[in-house]
Amino acid sequence: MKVLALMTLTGSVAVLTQSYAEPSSAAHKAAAAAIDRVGGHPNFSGVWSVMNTANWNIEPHLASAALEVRPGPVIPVPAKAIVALGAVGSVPAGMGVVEGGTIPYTPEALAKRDDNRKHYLERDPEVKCDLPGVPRANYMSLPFQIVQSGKTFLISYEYAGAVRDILFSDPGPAPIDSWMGQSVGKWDGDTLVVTVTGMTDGTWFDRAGNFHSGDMKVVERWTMMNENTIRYEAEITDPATFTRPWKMSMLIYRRLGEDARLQQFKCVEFVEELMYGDLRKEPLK
Amino acid sequence: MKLRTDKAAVFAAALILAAAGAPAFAHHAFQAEFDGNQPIMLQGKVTRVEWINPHTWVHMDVVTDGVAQEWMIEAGTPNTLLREGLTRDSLKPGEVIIVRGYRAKDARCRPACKANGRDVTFTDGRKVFMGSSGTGAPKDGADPNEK
Amino acid sequence: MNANRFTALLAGLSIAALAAPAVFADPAAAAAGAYKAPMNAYGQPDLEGTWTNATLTALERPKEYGTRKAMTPEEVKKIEGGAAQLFAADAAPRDPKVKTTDLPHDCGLGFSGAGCGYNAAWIDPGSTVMRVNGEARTSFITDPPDGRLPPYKPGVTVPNMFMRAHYGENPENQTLAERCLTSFGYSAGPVMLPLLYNNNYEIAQSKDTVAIVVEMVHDVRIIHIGGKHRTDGERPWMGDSIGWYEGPTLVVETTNFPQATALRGAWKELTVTERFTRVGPHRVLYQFRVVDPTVWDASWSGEYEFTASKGRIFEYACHEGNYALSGILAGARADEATAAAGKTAAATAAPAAPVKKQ
Repeated sequence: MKVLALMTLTGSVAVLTQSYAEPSSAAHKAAAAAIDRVGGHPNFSGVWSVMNTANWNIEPHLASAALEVRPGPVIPVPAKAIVALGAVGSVPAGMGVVEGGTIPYTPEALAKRDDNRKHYLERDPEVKCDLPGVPRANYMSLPFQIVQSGKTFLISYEYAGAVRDILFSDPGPAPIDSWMGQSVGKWDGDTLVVTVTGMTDGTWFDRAGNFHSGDMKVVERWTMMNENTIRYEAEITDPATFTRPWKMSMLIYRRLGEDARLQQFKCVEFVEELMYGDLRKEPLK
Repeated sequence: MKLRTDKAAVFAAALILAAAGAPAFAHHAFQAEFDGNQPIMLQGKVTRVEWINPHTWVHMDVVTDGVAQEWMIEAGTPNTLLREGLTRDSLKPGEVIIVRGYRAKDARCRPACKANGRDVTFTDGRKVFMGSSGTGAPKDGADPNEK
Repeated sequence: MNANRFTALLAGLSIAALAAPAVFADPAAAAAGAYKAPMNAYGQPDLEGTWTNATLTALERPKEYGTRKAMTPEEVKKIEGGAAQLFAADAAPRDPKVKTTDLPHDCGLGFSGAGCGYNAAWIDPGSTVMRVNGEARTSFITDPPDGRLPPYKPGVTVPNMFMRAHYGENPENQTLAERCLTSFGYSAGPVMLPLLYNNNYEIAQSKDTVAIVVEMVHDVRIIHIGGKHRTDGERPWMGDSIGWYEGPTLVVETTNFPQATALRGAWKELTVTERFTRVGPHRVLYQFRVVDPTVWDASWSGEYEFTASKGRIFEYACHEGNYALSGILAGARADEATAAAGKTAAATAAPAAPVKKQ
């Protein structure tokens, strides 16, 4: 069984199996040949989701008690609003998806990131069911569906009904900002390269306070490794926040089986008590 | 200046509103949020524009006796005007505008005093926001042989 | 009350409807064989693109047309000319001498003051009446023959579309549109119906799915091609849609509607069938049939044409910028405080008097 070993800069090793093979190998060619094609390109149509903890924290992380903590008698403890959730409110471990492990923040931006963590509940746009932006939408725990034809590449996300239409002809700079940005795509061989600009500064990368400015540019690379696996990469360029461009990469898996259907998660109504409770005629005590 | 006094215009308005499904929602919401008994006229410099849905908000500083008060003016959905070529530069900070509308019932002025912008003009009276006559649907009927 | 007049205009009144079988006009006949729709890479009729259903024609036929399906050229000219005048009037420069007292007090149909909304620049309800195969139509509905909804069954109470009980007391008492859960009106449907603005849709097709992106409120209808309806009793937003192709036509059948988005009062046993047929490079014929035997004894059917939209779908994020909902609730609280205090709102209002004295 052919094994591909990946060395990261921190020295940890990710071991992957035969189906994720070197591009030049016979195994890869066989996998590529099995991929359905449409309009001369690999067909990404289907329902997909990640199997990682990137949405919790895109950097490597061990498990921890909560997304927001406060000083305790010995060590920090979960914030008051989270205590009642117990283990359900705690954070699982993950190897991270940032290439190199650490996001290269400027010193000021790093301070702000850390401050975001101290005020997590108030600041994470996911708490308010805001649209997640790119790249976060792609690695939330809820799946997304791609509908692709010879000329259309639409991504419909279960989370909050976010949607992205990849434009194949560049309309120029986005006229105004939007939460999901303006996505312009082009094919580089069998890889779809998508440049996303015009995003607001209101989204985060994850639940760990990692953020960006309104000038961020994201260049995604979508490549099908085999019919059920996508290798997804996103390069982030945002000089206002980071000292250099940096990348994240991960695998995204096809949902299989009878229940491989996108559900709906219109979470807006779930946050009404949180956002408008104090404006009720009779606020709850 | 009274708008929509022309009979044809009123009838057209009726038909537009009839086709529109439930514009009464929108109107009712306006009356819930803004006070028809508090018409207001404001002049000031734009500080920023939130080109967002469901409503665009134009922030402006109105100076009275040397004291600046921030106002935010509710307008419509930017999507309609994006189709007409509107961009973030169509109304820039620093431009002076005059707003005629109604004050919000909620007078708390948090984060700013609020009003609904019935019309927003430059100081010479020109409308800041001008729509068009439609989305490009064919005017002369559908031609089955249309190329 | 204003809303009731509106209800009367839009909801349709009982009119003796002829019992007639619901029939879809034959799209092949309509296209008169002049146009052959291209096939997509999957061998399906190609319906992809960005489409609009903005139009001055309404779902239901105004009574004065009787059973007449088509408008005369004079009627078309009057309506389209009136609409053009409306837009021109609102785009015209404002006379610098006008005062706040010159704000329109009566903008027709019982609305006044703040209820008159915005300058027409912000709306886009269409500039033309609906033409189906070139014929200017008096309504979308073609069956019943009077172009209006059939009578409701006795005992059926239709909730008022425009007024909700306890309006202003809680966010849950507000309309779905004010809460940014769905659009005003019935944009996503089904049946997909145009409203005051952003009447834009994008259709995407893959082998087993048709996705229809509805601009307001960024809803995506997922239609399972060759699928079966769910039998678990769950009622998702926009119902459960399955579809199949019949020659040049995509047929979509939707059931399992939630009560929250009832179509003119129907949801429980509601079945909506839609047919999409490309009839020109820039036109898609849209036909619909609505059946709910618990609400109406007869079905109702209609049609209109989508035309190619100017520009692409723009994001309509809504919830993320929904100052309006907190404004409405805060307004209701302010009204209560005012009533309790027994003073006028103007007397209790905070700072800055208007600068421009006119």
